[in-house]
Amino acid sequence: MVDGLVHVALLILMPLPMLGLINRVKSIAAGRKGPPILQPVYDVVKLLQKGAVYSRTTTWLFVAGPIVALASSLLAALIVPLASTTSPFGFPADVFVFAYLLGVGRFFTMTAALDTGSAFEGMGASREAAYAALAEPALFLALMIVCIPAHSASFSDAFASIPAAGGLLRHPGLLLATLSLGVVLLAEASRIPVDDPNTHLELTMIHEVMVLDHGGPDFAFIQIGYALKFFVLGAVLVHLVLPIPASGWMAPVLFVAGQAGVAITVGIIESFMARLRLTRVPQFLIGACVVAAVGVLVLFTGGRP
Amino acid sequence: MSLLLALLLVPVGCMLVAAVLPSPRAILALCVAGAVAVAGIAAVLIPSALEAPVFAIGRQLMLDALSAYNLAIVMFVFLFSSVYALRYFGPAARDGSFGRGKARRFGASWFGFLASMILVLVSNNVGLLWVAMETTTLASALLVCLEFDQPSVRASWTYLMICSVGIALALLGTFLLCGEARNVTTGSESPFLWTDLSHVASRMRPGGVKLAFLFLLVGYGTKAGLAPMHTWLPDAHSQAPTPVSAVLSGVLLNCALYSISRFLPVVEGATGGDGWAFRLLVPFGLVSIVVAAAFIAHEHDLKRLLAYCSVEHIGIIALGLGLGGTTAALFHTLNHSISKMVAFFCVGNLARDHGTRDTRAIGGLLKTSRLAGAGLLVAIFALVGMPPSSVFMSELWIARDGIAGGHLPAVVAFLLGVGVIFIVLLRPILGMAWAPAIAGRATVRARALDWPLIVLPLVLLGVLGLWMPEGLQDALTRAAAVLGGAP
Amino acid sequence: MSLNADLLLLLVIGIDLFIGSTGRLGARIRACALQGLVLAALPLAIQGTGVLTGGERVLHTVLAVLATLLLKAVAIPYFLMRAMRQSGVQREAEPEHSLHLSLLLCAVLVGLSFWISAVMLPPPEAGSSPLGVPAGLATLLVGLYLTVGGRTELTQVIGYLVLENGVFVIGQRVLGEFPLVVELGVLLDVLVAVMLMAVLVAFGHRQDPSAAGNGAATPVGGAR
Repeated sequence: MVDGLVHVALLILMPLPMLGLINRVKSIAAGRKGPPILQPVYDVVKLLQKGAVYSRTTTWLFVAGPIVALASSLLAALIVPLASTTSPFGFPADVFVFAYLLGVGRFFTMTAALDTGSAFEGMGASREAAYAALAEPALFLALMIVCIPAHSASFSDAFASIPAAGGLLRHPGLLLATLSLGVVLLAEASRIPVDDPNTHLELTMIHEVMVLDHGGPDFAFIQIGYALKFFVLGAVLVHLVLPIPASGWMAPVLFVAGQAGVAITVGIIESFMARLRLTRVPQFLIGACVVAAVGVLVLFTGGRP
Repeated sequence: MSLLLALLLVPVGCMLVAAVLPSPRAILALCVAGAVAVAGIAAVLIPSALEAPVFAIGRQLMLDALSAYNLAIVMFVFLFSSVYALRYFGPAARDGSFGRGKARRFGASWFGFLASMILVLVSNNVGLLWVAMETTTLASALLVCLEFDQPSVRASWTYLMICSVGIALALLGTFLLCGEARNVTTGSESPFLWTDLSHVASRMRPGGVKLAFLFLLVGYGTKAGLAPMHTWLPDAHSQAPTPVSAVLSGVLLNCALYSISRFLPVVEGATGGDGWAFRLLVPFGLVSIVVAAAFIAHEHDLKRLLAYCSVEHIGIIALGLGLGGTTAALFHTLNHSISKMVAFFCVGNLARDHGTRDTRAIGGLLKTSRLAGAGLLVAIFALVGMPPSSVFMSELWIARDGIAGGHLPAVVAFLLGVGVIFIVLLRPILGMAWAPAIAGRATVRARALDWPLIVLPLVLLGVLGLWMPEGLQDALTRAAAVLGGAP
Repeated sequence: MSLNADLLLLLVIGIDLFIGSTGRLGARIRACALQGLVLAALPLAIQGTGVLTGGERVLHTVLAVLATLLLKAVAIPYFLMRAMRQSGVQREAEPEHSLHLSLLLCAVLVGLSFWISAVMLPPPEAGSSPLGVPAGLATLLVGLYLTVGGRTELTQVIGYLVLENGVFVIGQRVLGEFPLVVELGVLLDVLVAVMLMAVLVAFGHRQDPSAAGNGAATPVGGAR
């Protein structure tokens, strides 16, 4: 019960400030003071108070997009264990549901973008689809590395088996899974070097160009859903890297520290890397797939389990 | 200091001296003097080595009957080629186009090449053998690009690249073989020494040894010019200065083949002596003969013709080993080396006299350059296996041993291939000999030094074709005993 | 200490993939240098720190490690970099395949080597890293691919080096340790080979930048 409450509290409180933390890190690296860490929360609150404008050419798909995106991210966040090795909604084979929930959210965001009838948003949707198609195998392969030694396709069993295997440094496959999942995180959450969340040049945007026509509460939903997606993928990463205990007060502390670490790392990457040329992005993602595939191979050569 | 060590150190010393000598003519003289000295040491060593193996530096160096026989061929060809180098570069050294830098480069690489070839033959350590083999590539690549113009640099590049990669695979084979041997050696036995390898061979796992031998065959086979790994050979052999071509074609290929054949008894020991390793040589040999025939038919460059001819003869030697004619194959090695060396000497003289190596642009061979023309004609006759040359004898032996071993199809293919080469190789040469001389080309008189260089080996070939001396027969038998033979 | 060896071998595979995925020759050469560094560290990781208290073997191991480090991580990359600057070719011009495909092909080669070593070769002995043979084989295959598929000469040289590295990794796995004279001899040979190749590459481009690498047949003739 307590674990469940902690879980819900974390997923309500953490995602948006994490984005704020990334921006803060980037500002500090650039020598600026930067906006407060809670700035994304203020933005969302402001957006929720506004009204929305709908183009006459749009249909219900346009309205459904942000809602489904938010709902699917929320569900995914309920499936993945956060500050524990169990989660409120966990069930056998939830790994697949998790992956496809992310897919559903993306699908509806894309259809909403296409529904506007604007060539510009269509372009964004096309790019999003292309990159997602490359990121998804990497995600699956990376999850496979975690799931195969546990003989189970559920997050709880998989995460529980990691400390037994000796953690990251005793397990070369896990290291590769972490690397590849890190790339998936950057791609799914539209961060540098795959996408630039702050770009002002529409031609280079991917995610932002897709949601250009959403306003007010719709845009707030999209922002929250986006933050949640970053948060859950970050949570999976944290579990791979840190031995989060099954319960106790250490678990939330470690988890929050781990998530902060993820945000800071992403912030540092964004500060010191430029966005890749669009044609180079697929290679980056294929690289992630290959790394994860090597990880799976390592499992099968009788490397440490 | 043992003589075996001196055999290695004298060329190394000559190499160092050649790198600092001031005058090109002195370097050329040193080439001859050094070769004579090394050949003298070898002449002292070889008879005793034929009786019983000679060791040095622990057991790292060894000269047994097989390596002594090969060493004799190397020294013979090398000595003649050194004298020919004096003849070849002499005029250029006088008029200054063979400058000091080039001469030092030549002298140092020439002796480096000799030292590494000797090390290949006398090394008892398979790892050291590999190192020596790669060193021959490096030294000879330097010799190939001696002129340092576009075609020779290109040829040298191809040679270096393909052979280095091939030899890297041989290194893998060496490691795999020694890894297998390491599992079964006991006490003071070393998995790297030939002498110990042949002792422990019967205890090694056949599978691992077979895998290792495949890599060794492909790796050293590249260096030996076995088709289809021969692609570097025509370029390198035709772009090199002629004395270098003679050594490359005449003995370097033998050294590579020697490295392969040394592994045969070990592999046979491990696989139960059913002739697996020997049989593997047969397809490589046949393919080499066929490929050579196909390329000779379309070639007009004299030196490239001879280079492809080398591919053919290396194929014949490999085939001879594979068909059970070990003695015949070893005899053929000698015959090919001598005849190919003379052929290159003659082509070198012809190319200088006529300013071209294109068979279509040379005519009236027997009139314009009598000695080189006649020498080339006789050498080619020998190379295509006309009796009474000794090449004919050794090819006949190989065919006879093959038939005796029950390999009739392979022998038929071999004879067909050799027959085709007889036609396609003689056609351009006879054309050159009897076509009318190109107008305006004066008759060139041979120099005094040319006579012994060309006539002596040819006489030797003829004599060996008719009469086998007791000593040579004995040496062949002892060398073949080291290898054993295909059942 | 086999764990460190595992990680190093993974790094070797990662470098193979990186070399296969980049078209910039400078990056490839630097990756090659890094691979040399990893190779130098490999004996230490395999044998553990115990090697430093082993009496006579210490000199052997230290010498081998230092030589590998000096030659493969410093000297050879230096010569390649110089050849690159002299030849003025900075990147693989119109690669045989797109870089995506090249990366995927390298990945397939890596997979193939894992498969070969799992199916066709005997299982690793207890206590040795299970990644030794697959990593070495993968490196060897990627090197072979680079030498055969490379369009520029420098890529071929890099491929040769990578191939050599692969042979060394496998050798280390099956032999444990090489005799010092063999190891030093091999290293020296590789060094000289690369120096010579670098000189030839630089010369080839100085003479005729356009003709480099297309393997045109040499013309008939010449008085040589």
